[in-house]
Amino acid sequence: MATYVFIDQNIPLVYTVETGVITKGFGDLLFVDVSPIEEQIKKLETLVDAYEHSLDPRYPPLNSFPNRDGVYAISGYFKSAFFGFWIGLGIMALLAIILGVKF
Amino acid sequence: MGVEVSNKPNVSSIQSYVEDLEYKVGLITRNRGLESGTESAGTKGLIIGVVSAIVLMGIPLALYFLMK
Repeated sequence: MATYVFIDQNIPLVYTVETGVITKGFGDLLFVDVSPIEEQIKKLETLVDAYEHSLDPRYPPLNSFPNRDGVYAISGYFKSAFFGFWIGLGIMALLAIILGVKF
Repeated sequence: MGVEVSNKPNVSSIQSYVEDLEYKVGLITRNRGLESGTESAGTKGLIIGVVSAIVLMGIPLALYFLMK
């Protein structure tokens, strides 16, 4: 817990002992600029949106280069096509053997 | 002398935590994105692969039987 020291009752400044920073205050109230906290909250909201968008392959990855929409869908096609290609080759090889093709 | 006057909160610890969380979320969302892409395009991709294999091997097979 931080320790505050009032510089003067009439001057709205408070001295923080641990950090050596004088902060604006008024009586028992401190006036704090919350914009840095809002920036961090916006970053957290971005991360939450990234979690939500990860379930839809049409969205780009987090922190990616521009024009990367649909990259997951395209990768899905390639992965499935790889396995399908080998399955098809196996089926055609069996068909060739059954039809009596001499190798 | 040299005393800093500020009314902004110290968010260094929160910032470091958010940066670490951003890295972890990036890894997890990329993995989940790939899984969702595979699930959404699995059937179509499989059909594309099978058709490609049939075309690549079926044409020589057909020519073999025609020339036989």
